Amino acid sequence: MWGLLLTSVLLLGQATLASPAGRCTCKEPHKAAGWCRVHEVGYVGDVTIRSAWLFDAVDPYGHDVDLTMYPVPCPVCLRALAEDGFCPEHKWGFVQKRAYFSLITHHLAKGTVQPASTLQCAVCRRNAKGHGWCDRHRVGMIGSVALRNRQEYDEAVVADDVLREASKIASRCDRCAVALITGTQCPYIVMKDGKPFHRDPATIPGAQRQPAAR
Amino acid sequence: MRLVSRIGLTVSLSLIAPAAFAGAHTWDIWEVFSNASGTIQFVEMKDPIGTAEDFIGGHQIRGNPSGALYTIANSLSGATNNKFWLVATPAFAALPGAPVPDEIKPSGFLFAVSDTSVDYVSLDTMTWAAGALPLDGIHSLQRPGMNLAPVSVVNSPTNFHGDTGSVNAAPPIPGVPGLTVAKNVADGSSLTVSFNTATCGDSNDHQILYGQKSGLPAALGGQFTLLGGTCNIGGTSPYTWTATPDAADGSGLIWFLVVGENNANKEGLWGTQTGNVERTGPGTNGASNVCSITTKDVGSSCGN
Repeated sequence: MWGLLLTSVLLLGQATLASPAGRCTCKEPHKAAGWCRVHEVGYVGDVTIRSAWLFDAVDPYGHDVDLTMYPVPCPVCLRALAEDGFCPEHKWGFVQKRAYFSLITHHLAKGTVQPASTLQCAVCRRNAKGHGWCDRHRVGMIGSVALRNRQEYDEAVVADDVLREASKIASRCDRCAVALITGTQCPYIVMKDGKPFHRDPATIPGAQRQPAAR
Repeated sequence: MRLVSRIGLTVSLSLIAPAAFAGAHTWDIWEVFSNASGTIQFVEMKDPIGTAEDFIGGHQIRGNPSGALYTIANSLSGATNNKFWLVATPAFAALPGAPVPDEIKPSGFLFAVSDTSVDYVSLDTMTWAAGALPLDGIHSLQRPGMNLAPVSVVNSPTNFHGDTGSVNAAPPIPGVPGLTVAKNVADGSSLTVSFNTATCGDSNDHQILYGQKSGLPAALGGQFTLLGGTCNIGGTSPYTWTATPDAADGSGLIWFLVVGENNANKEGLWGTQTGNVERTGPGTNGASNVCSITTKDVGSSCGN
């Protein structure tokens, strides 16, 4: 019963918070996602993000969509809306009619938040410090988010890896990191075979590196 | 399996406190506008889905493939749901009907007129086919909804405060000099009509206005009465005018002229008569009132 209740109230959309101004939340048990205003650092799944722009673009909060004012634009999006799926073209994922603008938060929103300190299984606790699958309990942890569907978990790990790479890139170029998540144009880094591929600026005609935004 | 203890539940529930992370990622490029020279431009964004996406300062707007770049100077204050934001060139801001832009790019273009997309960098892109951007100074490209391809509509810029308007940045429609005619058949029922579009840089659509002898003005400077028009003959000369009209007044005389028009119910100059006086029809500014025309543009001095 408690587990069901937890599932119903702790979907990512409700649990992703910015910390109150002036109070550091870095050392508090990590939620599925959160942003510490004191140290300007965010957490999504098991990835630490130091770029506010990237944290924003990952869209940890999700959004309610007014479907009367803005009809969902394409058949794939419509199917995603009905089936809690993801539209790769428009980069929209839906969970319980709530829209998420990145693959990783779409996957995480399907899980339940279970901080490591609350887990009784040692393997699950270890997994919750990064990510991993527990065969015994048939649950995958990505940070403090538990996913019980193996395929969902495997796909989430791929998205989690992309986010981790984006977070590294953000230290040099916020916009490039955001582009990696949103699938928009970045002249320096493109996705190749599902992984970030760094292009040599010297090979890009007219390329001029943008300064990091922060 | 009991992965979650009741203590864990208590801890987790205590984390659910309302707090907002102000971002900027839900804004979409919503409307783009340019005149033919690119001096009068705006880019409008809309936040159709966010609530507090006000940290737009530092983000960029970029035209592609030109790479024209504008870095947003200021963030916003207040709720953003269904709000617009407007950046424009100084020449746009000076036009009648323009709402006050939220920001002005002091020099240079927001995007090139040959560009085929505008980015809200890394977050959203509006894309259109080459040549699809209207440059008539009236129409813009606007999204009819989130993630939808833009369509051409009459421009409707709106700023963050909700002030909206529409501008007319169309160049004046010039007159059409160099009119000559040749019969294709002996009875004149088919004519080849030639006219000069080069002298005045005239890229407009055109139409033939005609009348009969009884429609000529009774005195110099008087009004011409028309029988009708052959509409939308295009922008290139010559034009083969077939099934030319007959006079109904028994005179056997048909007069005609070629005028430019902007496909927005406005025609150009007819040309002047003795005394350097513009010839006039019955409509506003002496317009013909045929072919859906409601007014005449008298702002040009070329070709009259």
